[in-house]
Amino acid sequence: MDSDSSMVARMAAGDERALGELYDRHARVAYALAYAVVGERADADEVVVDTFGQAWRTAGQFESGRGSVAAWLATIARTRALDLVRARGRRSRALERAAQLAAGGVASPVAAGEPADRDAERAEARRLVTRALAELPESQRRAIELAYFGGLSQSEIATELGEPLGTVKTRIRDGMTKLRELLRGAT
Amino acid sequence: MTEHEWLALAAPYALGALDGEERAAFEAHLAQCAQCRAEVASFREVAGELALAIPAGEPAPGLRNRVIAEARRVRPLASRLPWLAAAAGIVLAALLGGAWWQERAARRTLEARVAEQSEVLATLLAPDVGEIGRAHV
Repeated sequence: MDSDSSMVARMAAGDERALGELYDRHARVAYALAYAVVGERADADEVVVDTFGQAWRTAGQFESGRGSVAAWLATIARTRALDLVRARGRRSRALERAAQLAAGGVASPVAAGEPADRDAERAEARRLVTRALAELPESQRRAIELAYFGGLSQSEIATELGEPLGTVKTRIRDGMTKLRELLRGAT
Repeated sequence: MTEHEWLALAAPYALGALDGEERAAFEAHLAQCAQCRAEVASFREVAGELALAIPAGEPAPGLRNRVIAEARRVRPLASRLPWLAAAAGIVLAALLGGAWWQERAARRTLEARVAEQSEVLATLLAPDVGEIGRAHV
């Protein structure tokens, strides 16, 4: 099976089948990310189309030395999703969820009801991330979610949660450092 | 800011959580600090995986076809280069062809002129040349 970056290289050369393969591998995660931000299925679908459209157009600018294709796609999807939410003058789903204290954030309903993933490798990655997030203190996880899915800056998060900025900064830094340890240590 | 303080900004930066001014300052620093760039890249991988934990179901079934259909309308930026190269090739070929054609035409004119001159010379130098030849003798 071709690597993600070789598919992106084929896309840059105009190979539509490579785009289809990339879609098959990553559309679901892009959709989940978009859904966490926009909170509506139809809007999340639009974000996915936008994301792969932009990936197709800019495939030639992708540099494999600077990170994975998955991280590149996630950056595009997040930006597109936040753009759409802002264009609609709405708050992101992550923000809405954070406002309801009982909801505990977007990633917290630990993926119990998830349909089985056909791709074993992806299912394993999903399991690892879910477990790693579950190991973080909720305050850290929430701050990270508000930043990434909510599109808030650290000072906006501090305002949102009514907490000192320094506390938010520490939570984000410690939470991300711990997540990285858990995810990288496990692979 | 100390090196340690810059490094501490990598995680919030990768999450898109730095405020405007701080972000601009950090980006300026990133341009000249490989260590911070590597740190950002590694946190970006972590951030990119966060969505894996979200139970969201599947994108709409027809979406894949839409993505492919839209791609057919727009060529990727990079693949325009081979097209450009091909177009440049055609133009170059046309120019070279034109030059060759012109050169061939010029050569033909020259050849024709040489042939004409040779004929004149031949006529002049012919033994039965008549008045002009005799005038010079």
